[in-house]
Amino acid sequence: MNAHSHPEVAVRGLSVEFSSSAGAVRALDDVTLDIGRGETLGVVGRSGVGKSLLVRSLVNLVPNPGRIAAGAISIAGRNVLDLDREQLRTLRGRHVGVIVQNARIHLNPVLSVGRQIANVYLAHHRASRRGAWERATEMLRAVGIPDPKERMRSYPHELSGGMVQRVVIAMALICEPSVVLADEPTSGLDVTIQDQVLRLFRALVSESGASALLVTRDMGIVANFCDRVGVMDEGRLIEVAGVPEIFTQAVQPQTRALLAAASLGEERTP
Amino acid sequence: MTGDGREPLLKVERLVKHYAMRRGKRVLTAVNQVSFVLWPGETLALVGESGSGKTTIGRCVLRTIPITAGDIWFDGENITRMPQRDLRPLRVGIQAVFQDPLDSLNPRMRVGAIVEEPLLEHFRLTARERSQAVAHALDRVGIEPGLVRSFPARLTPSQQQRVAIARAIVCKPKLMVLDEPTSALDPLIRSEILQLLTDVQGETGISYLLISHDLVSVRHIAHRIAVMYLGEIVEEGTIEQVYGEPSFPYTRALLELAPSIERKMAGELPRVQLSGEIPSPIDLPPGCYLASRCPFVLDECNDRHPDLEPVGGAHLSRCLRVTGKLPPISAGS
Repeated sequence: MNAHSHPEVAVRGLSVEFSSSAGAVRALDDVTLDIGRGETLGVVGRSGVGKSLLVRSLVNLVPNPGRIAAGAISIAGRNVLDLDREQLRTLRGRHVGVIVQNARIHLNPVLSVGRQIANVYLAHHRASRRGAWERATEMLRAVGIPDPKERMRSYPHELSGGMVQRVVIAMALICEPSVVLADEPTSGLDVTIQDQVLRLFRALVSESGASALLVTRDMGIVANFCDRVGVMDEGRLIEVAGVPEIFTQAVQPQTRALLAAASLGEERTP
Repeated sequence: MTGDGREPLLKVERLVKHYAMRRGKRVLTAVNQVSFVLWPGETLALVGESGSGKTTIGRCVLRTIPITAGDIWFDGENITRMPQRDLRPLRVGIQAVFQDPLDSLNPRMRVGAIVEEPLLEHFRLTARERSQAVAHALDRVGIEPGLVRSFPARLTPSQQQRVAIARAIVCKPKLMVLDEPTSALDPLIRSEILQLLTDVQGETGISYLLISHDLVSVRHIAHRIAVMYLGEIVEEGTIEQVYGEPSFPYTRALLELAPSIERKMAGELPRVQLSGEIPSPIDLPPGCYLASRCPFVLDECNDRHPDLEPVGGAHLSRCLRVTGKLPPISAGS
């Protein structure tokens, strides 16, 4: 484990509850984790164990009727649960970049992608429209979209899935956030495109020294793109380990089951 | 797995599927002169990424979309232009299982009725015979009798896909088109479903046309593999040939770029990395379709469209540098 005196992300005893007619359901249960500077923490687990909810909770966006019942979250030196609306707005986008899955449904279909990327920059910086446009064009180039000047004027439906995902990465990183939260950033992408996108993500994160949390269901992605990994089960973080170690020294049976399923697909044919 | 004098169960010859674009005379080529055979009891995997045409081929075989050109034989009969009213036997002989079971199961029918429906449609059976067949199919896929009266939404994703498989096998088909049957499932459940399909094939001798984007996960179930790129087969061979000696650069990329625990632990780095974008299927380049992304591209690759040619036995490849038309890719690169 990378010990840092002031981890960029520090979560302590985080619990999220959803109230229902049958009483409160704990969707996140006493989650504690740290992410150091320049470190990428993978979060794995079966569907529905609370991985995406953890990402949303970190920027205080728990969907209704859920609420944060206990715990503390510190991101980039700020106590997230003490921030007011305006401060949260600054936190999201400026200090924390969020990359969602199914990026296409999160983009505005009637605005050009260039406009949408530039708007993120304008929301957090004093800049001219033209300056923001140029900055956005640079970002599109950085995420490996060919012919970025031309593509700035494209609408989301005109781009392939791989390009849309890169647009969302550009939006998340344009303000050079110190924390990047990525929720299955490559789900639905083809393996050759996934590789292009993840290599890019890795390069941009390590260049800026940001801290990243990468939610995935793929242990292969953990092996290749994360420094440490946390395993979730039923709202709890049941095991945290360094990345080579998890594959040889997993303790929890749920972790071993995930690893067994992953390696089943990998056995070499004789 | 070879023919040994038997007839192939499915034979596809020079299959072409065009889609007309709304404006002008532009045409999108989804499937481009594809030929393959599938033997009884065999699993052939059609593997490719989005837009490669693999699903379109499945739909042509199921006769659910019009075919532009080429021929499809099933069980000795040319079904390409067979009128819909004559397709009823085909609807028994060829079944399909799709990616998302919740999309393919009627949400307002109970499990028992879902599995019974094809029997009512195609056979004259007594109620007792039907309920026996349904019970047998559900037992085969590991669905407890207690779930017969459940609605699909109440089942787990694994159970839902099992019900879809039970409905497909209840008519005892000869061929199943499996279109990404495990892609929507958790990795843990994926292996269960693949094992179930393998067991069913062992018992019934059914053939599978398995459509998948994931070259790594089909290894355990397929006998032969055809890799597709932009509507064409670019490599074809047995599991041993395609995994052991992948010859087309795109196949190598698919194998090496799937994030692997094993290779990472062994310190192996991928040697084939693709960059750039896939060409548009409306405006296909004159040369090799991979040329815009291929790390081994030569100038000639941009001008000359390669044919699918043997590179040893039944192993076929469409790379000019592998089939001896251009200087070979040097070892280590």
